[in-house]
Amino acid sequence: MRIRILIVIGAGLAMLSIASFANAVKPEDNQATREKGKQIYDRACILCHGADGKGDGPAGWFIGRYESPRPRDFAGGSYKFRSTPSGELPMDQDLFRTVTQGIPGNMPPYSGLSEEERWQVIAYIKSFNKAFKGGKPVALLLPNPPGPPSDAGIENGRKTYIKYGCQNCHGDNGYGDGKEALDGNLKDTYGLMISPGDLTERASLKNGSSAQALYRSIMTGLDGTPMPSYADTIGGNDKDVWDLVYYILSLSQERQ
Amino acid sequence: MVRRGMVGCPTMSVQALGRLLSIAVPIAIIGLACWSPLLAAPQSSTKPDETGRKAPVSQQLHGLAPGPAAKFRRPREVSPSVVEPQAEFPGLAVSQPGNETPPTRSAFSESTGPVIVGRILYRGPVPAPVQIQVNRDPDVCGLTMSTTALSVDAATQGLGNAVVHVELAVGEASARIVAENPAVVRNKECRFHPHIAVAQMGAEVQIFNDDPVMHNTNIIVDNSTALNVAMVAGGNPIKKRLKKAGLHLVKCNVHKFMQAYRLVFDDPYFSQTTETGQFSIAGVSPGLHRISVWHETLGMLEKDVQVPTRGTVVVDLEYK
Repeated sequence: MRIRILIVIGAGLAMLSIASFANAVKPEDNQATREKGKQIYDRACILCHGADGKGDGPAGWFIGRYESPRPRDFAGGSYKFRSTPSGELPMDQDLFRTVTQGIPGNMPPYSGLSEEERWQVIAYIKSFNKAFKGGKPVALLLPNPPGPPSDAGIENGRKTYIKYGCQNCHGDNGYGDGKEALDGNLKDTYGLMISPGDLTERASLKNGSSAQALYRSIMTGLDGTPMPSYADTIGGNDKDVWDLVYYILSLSQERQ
Repeated sequence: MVRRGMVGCPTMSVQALGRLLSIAVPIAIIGLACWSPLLAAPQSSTKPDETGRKAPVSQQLHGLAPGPAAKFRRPREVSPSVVEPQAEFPGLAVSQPGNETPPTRSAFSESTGPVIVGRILYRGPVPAPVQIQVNRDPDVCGLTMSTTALSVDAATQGLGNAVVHVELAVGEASARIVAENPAVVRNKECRFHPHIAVAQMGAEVQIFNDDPVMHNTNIIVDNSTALNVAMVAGGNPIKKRLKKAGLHLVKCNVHKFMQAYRLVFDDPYFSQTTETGQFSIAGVSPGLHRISVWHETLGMLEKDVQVPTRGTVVVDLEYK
């Protein structure tokens, strides 16, 4: 009887500790959390993003000095990878995704940090920009991909690619060799030369290469770069966007 | 059982007290807030800026003025006093600033308060329009595009498309609510229309594409994207709120020759000059104000002006 009671109490305590651990994964955004985040930032991020988060760390001297992208300016710069409309701040989850996955070719993934540590550093990063204390950003509706792509859908995706002017920058075949790119007309908001993504190489897609990530990039645009947001101008025309997504995916090989 | 009951009883009463407080305290706060006479005060009194006090927009413009403009910057002049009205403004009465005691803030309005009018002049050489070769969508954009950076009225030497702004005195808050006039950006024949425009922060920006080709409208403020939207041919127009004050550089990345400016201010004390260089700004409070003028290629001018309690102040400024 006593053993049974002890087992029940033990199980209860175990469940309680698991529950409290789950709650602790995303800590409350307070001074203590930000201080812990600063400790991580000072050893993991400061080299590129700088002590004040302005993207002017010691490594910034050669990263993005003559060509985009520069390390992100957390204090006032644009946030590229968002699920929010153009010109808006990112959601916390957007920052978490970028910290976790990194940016291919530019920033390493920090999945080596625990989830809690990643949230702590995000709390600290947000403290560089006062705008985060204002109204909370609202994400666009980003649905799950519809059923498997069809031949007709991909054909329509190709037409949409032309209609949306994707070839101007990404080129007729998606190699990132559009006329604007070849003429050197594409610049970021700092006036630095910037290259469009090579749609035939999934690793070059900085905001992710899944169907949903491509949909997100098309709808939100990549602030700070010439890539515009299509959400408003084509609002309600989801089918064309998904066809475009599957067309873009058809240009590259899925890596296992 | 008895012991349990004795222990449970005070626990329950503390919980009940907690529940009672959790209901009573918010009700009391809401009641107090509703009763507060502060809520009854007119909203137009001295409502502070939503974003808090920032550096004046003209200071931001100094940092953001286009490259070529920098060499035209001049040290600011100080106005001697109220300027006598000139023949160009015959209908405007002038009051001499006397020893009147400044009335309270609420006594000023557009109808009774002072008005600043004037003209921005340019007597220098006006360069001929520049012809730009168009290398994209010639069917819509044409083969060449003519750009005129200076719009000067030959008869009066008045400079068009300059933007005049009266800065608030230190600590002064905007007295008028946000003007609801939308700021329009129209993509037409591969140009942004209008080329220069002014707006107040919080107003709506409406973007249209009248062309049968795709554009994008990329609005950059302080090296950061304020809005970058694709404008697909036949797509929906865009309607957004202006959330950032300062110099808005409007670009199309598809057609690199498309460029325009919007000047967005926290307060409503701004004006864009007419073709003959005239401007008029009403509703400014009396006292010493700095007037700043922005022009796309000529850069900035500044002048300190003493604004009387009522009547008209005439301020003429000249780019030399």
